[in-house]
Amino acid sequence: MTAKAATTGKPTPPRGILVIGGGVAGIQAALDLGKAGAKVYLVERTPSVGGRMAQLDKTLPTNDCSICILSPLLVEALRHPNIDLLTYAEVTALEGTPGNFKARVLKRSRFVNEHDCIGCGVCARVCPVSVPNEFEAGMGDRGAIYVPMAQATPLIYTIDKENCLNFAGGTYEPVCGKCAEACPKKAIDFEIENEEIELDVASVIVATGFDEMNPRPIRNLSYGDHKDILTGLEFERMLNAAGPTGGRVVKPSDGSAPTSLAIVQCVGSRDERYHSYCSRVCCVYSVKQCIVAKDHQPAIKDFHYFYRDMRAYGRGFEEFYHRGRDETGVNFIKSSPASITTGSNDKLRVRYEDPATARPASVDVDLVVLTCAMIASAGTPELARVLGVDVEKDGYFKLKDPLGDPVASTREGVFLCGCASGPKDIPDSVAQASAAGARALAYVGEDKSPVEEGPLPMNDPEEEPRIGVFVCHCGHNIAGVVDSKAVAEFAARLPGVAYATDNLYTCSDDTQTKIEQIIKRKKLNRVVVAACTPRTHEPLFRETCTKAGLNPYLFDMANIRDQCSWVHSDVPEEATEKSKDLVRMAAFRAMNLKPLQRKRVEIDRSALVLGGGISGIQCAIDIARQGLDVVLIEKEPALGGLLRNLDHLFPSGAAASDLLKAKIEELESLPIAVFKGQEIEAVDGFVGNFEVKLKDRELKTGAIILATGGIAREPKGRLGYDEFDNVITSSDFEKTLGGTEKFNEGEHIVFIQCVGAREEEGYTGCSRYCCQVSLKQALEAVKRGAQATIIHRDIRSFTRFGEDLYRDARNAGVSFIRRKDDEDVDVRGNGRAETLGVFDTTLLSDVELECDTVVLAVPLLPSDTTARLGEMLRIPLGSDGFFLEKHIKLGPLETNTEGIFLCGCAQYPKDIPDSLAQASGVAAKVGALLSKPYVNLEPATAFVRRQLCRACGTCVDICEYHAPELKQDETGEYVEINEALCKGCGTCASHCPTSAIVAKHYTDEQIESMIDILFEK
Amino acid sequence: MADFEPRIVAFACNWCSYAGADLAGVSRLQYPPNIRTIRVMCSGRVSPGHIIRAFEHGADGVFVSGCHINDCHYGFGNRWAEKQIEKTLKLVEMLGIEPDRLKLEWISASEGEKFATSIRTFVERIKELGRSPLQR
Amino acid sequence: MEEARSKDEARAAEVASLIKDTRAYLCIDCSKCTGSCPIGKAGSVYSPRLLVQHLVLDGRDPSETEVWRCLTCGLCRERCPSDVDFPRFISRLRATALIDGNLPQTTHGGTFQELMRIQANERLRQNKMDWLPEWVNARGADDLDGSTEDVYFVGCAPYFDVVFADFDLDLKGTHEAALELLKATGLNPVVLRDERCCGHDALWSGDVELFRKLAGRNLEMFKAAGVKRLFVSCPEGYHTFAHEYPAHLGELGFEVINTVKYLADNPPPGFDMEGDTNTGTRPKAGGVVEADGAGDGGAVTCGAAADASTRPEEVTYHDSCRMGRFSGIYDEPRKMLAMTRGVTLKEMEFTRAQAPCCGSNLWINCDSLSKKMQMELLEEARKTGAGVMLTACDKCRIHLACALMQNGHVSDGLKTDNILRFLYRKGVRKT
Repeated sequence: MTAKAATTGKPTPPRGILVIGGGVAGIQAALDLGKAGAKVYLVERTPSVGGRMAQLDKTLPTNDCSICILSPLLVEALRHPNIDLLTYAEVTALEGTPGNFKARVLKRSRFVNEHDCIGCGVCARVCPVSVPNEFEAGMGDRGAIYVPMAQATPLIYTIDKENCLNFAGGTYEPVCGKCAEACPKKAIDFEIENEEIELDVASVIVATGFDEMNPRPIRNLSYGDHKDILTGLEFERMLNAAGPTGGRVVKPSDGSAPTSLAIVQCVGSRDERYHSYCSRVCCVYSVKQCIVAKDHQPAIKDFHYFYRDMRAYGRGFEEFYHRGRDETGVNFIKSSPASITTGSNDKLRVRYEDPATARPASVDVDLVVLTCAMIASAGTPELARVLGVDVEKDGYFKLKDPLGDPVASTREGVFLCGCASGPKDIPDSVAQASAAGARALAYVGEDKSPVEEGPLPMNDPEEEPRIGVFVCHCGHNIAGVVDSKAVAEFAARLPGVAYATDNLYTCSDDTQTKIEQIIKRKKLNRVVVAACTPRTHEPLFRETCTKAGLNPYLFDMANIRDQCSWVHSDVPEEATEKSKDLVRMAAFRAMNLKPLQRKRVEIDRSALVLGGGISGIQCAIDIARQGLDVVLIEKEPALGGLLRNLDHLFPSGAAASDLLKAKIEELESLPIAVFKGQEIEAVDGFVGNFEVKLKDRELKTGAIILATGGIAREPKGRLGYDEFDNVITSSDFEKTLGGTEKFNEGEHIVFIQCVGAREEEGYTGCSRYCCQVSLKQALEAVKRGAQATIIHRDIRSFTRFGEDLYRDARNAGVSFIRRKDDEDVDVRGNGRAETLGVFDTTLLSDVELECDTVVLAVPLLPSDTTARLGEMLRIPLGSDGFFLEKHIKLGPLETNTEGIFLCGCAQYPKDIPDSLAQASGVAAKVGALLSKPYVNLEPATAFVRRQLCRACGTCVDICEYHAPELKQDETGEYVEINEALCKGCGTCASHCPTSAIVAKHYTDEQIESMIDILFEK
Repeated sequence: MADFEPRIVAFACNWCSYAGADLAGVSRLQYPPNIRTIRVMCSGRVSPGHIIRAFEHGADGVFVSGCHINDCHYGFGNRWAEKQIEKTLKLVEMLGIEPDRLKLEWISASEGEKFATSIRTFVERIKELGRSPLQR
Repeated sequence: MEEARSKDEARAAEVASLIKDTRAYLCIDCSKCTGSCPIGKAGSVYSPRLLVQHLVLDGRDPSETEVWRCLTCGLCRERCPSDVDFPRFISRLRATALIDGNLPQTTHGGTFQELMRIQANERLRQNKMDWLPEWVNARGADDLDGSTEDVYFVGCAPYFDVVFADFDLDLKGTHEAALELLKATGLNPVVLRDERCCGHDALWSGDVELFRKLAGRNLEMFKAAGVKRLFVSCPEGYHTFAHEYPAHLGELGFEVINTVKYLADNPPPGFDMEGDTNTGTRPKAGGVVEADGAGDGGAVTCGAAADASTRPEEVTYHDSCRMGRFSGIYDEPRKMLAMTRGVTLKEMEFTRAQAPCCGSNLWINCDSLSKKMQMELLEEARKTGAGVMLTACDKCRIHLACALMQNGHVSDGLKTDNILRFLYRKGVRKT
């Protein structure tokens, strides 16, 4: 951590961007901005970045390990030269005007010298204090000196003044001092004071996230009275392999294995007594928890899952919900429990109404999980005051225009993202984060300095190896177990080793300088450091090598701390032997290392947006505002896409045409080339260098954005649509709603949801926006004198104001009928649809309705060009037929192909705010990509030795990045790996039949040399 | 045989398993010092040749670990690794080496405990099996 | 200094002896070899003559790539007016190259070399015979009592089946078929569970030490078993046991028998030339087609032309180098096919001693030239109109299957099969 201590003191000259909150949204925004060249100050209240996502066990629906995907981003942010991480800090003032703010930040004292702390944790081991660990949601303990989690970033310990014995009286009085004594670096200093920093910032991004509501006030649910009632976050920590129980699901009361579990949804959410909004993520995260719990604790036989409406609206969520039902055996009960009390045999009794019989029922379970409302993070009102922005009545920051601008706060230059503006899942949060980044970036103007990456120093690969070995003591951390001196002496005798030494702290600044000098003086051409883990420290040592004029790929590390001294502390001799082996392996690998150069590829600093709907328009605008060239292509003769079918918009009630007009005007005011009635016919090239062929012209572009939207599915053959004129689709009805015409008194309009969505055949997912469309239309119809009924399966009004809309519709007298999942509505009539028959699961009886108009809510399908474009650009499609994003959680805006992005309904159905957020988000990504006139390609990629390639295509079949490409010239067929697409995993190399593929930096020779030397006698 | 200390080569992918091994360290979880880890970017990089080479040279066991299926940093590498190791397992068995001496385990970055336990279990199993039949 | 001199001297002696042994000094500069070499034909430059003459005249070794590039297919030697043994010339030079640290480019990440090396381990007790027909008596290395006279050698097929599972070639099927066919002739051969790699690839790759280790272990075991007759189906294995073992390790004390040859001499029931259902033209044994296959419609129908229940099947046969040029077994496979009901042999243009190379050998240096050779060979087979291309060498089959593969999938169309597997399926089972 000594590499880049957090910046203190003087503001840096270029105006930066202040990002408040170091959760996944804040980190994402910071990274996008840092890459785009902006100076970023990331202020995090707690001692470590990572936020809520770092607490999660898995992410759904893939059950991806949360920290596996998050922690590389944290390390990247920590090391990014344009990002200053200000942790354990708070913003105390924001003055000035957009573009020229002055922010004051209070950096609270950790009482640990940030520069010196090496994160070894010796201090925490001796601390006599034990308090509940916030990070463990109170499930585990920590000392008064602590890091929240093992992967804490930065890995600097913090003394919590509230709990430290030395501050028992409020001020420092030395009574304990154990940690200071134990600290090998003498980094603890109780005299360190808080620090006030002033920063020049052009704009501000608020990414303060959420807190989990404490369900204690809901007395009938008895949280706090019984140890075996947990909140969703507590249960998440229990499921986490790195959590307080090591991932074992147990009854906290006695540590025994539970056999039954109850999940209670909407605890404090969708409840006017507490929080009237929907928390948006709980329905599916609970399904995930059931699946994971079953996996971790097979003893659990029964899962009783109590819910109101199953809001499984995201990509793959519906299927995930079914997986919970069919594979894990979760019993989904549409009912909210009335109470939780003590049952028989130490069990908890959950009382509820059995929805099938409408009678009271109860079930006894071992463990109850309450999925509590996500509430605005605790500091919101205070921060709002400091920033001079408004807070909405739901407690979250207020959006100036929730529909047309999903990231703008009520103060210009201050943007909101992630859960700061209401509950959100991870992909929506990171998309918004990028969007906020794009908007914030516009205020920085020319104050950008993208990190320049020059060519690496190169060494002669054939030179006789002269290896330098540096063995670290890491204070007592390594040397307390491993005889570091002996390891260094051993290393000195290895063939090829020209120099070996041991250092107290190899990572400290002075040692870096020393290593640099030794490399030069001893003419070392290979360096091995035996210390902690390359995952955190390789970049630092590589930098040192580079500074010394040594190619950084001639460096290797032996992990003798995290994977040796720390895990074999009881067998020091064996640990020393192991360290010698690890050093020997690294040294032999080093001999076989080759200097690598990153390839610089010139890029075309322009972007091409495909699709002129609202997403495409917004995206083009935000890219153009960064001063980049943009071309927008729309296949129809007019811009507007799906928005042209809409009349007025929820929640503002504004006319869709006004929004569209405003956006098109903005588009036209910018230097954006718009081609209407055009489609792309062919594409070639790669990131930064695409060549696109249109009907009548060819274009070069650096990035391609897929904003191709979707089309409404025609409900052919369904519910009398072909038969009766008065059975229409939502978009037909939207036209009827155009103007202000009143309906006939009592005219009955019946809406049928999910026509062709959430079905076994065809489109299995949820179309995400239709519930709110029907709610809006029904409400409007009722306002204009009609009667309205919505026949649905679940009302999925999960957006920020969606629940208010649902409530308004009910208030206005809209009727709701919940039908069975597997039973269609029967539409009857003669020439016109006259009556509808349906089983009402609420009333538990068949009902018959007379109707004047039947409105079918049909799902959005991928636009008809999707499949063709997918093939042309080699972007895979999901099983739903929409474009597949790079990563379902952290890469919602990117595709597997670098330089090709996606936004809006091209990914899957979305409402306008989500589409706009994605569109702006993509602009940030494009801005980062095109920030320099070149991109550097990662050197450790795979390459094909052409003479050995027999073009069998095995690699082409393996690589999902499409890096290997079959080519042909006069000499025949062969494969070439496009370095711009290769990510360096090496899977192709181990599968190539002729071993024609070499995975650079992980070659067979390098791997084999480690095996060979290990067993050499 | 009581003094037998197996020599084990472990392959760990950079993103999940190597991180899981680091976490075991940060959490000070103790496991036997018999493994020597080779870091690869993806479990998909490990080829049958590497594994058989390790046995040929004298390894008593080979441990391969990667991200859980569907968690692969690259999306597809571990699925190929799974197939590759399945094949290698057959080869190893045909060579008269007990198949338990080759272990494929999915370990995530948060599974420090699993890493330590897996190594513990593996070392114990190898101790039960004794020295590699090729080294006895 | 001393050491270096003696090393140089040893090397000079080895070079002199290999020149003598392979008759390299007899090269009369006719260039037939260069014109015959499949590598040259596939589009690269490779002149055995030049390599020989350089070494003989100015002592220059072949370059790093040249020394490994030769396929040792032996076509040059076949045509050489001076009978210079170029394959052996190059493979002996490989031994010196290895000493110099010049290693071949292995395929499959070196998997096969590792498999070979590990089989030299004396403690190895293999477990590769679980597929053997039930009646086969398989004995382990620790269970040999000198009473086992007829031994059948399986070889690497079980390993290949695993590595090439995707090709679905059923290479073990070759040996299952061979054993069943031998049984049908009245034999009851024993299989030695712990037989080692025969060492063929090691030898031809210049790793004589490894070859000797493998051969030594095998011989030790054969001796302990009391082998009198060793049946081998793999052409490489056959040639190695029959010719290389005696050359390197002296008199074997047992007979090495090629399975196809044995079957042709002792046809099992169902392949009887006098078969009563056989009313077609009766070919002369071994005389199916004139030598060197003039090939235009030289097909001869036999057997099941009269067997109404069987659809006549047209096949073609590829003479692999180790079966043909190295071991001289050309007629016997053809004789067997002639005796198979319902089978018509359609010969390719180049057969027998003139047969082309399958393009790859020793699991080294496989590349686009290899593929080109394979594609041409497949094309030749297609031209005959036959649906199946037979060969005695399963390595040939693997290489050809690989050539048929694109994007990880073997394309359909022409099929390949091992001749023994084919004969068993066509013949014995039906009787």
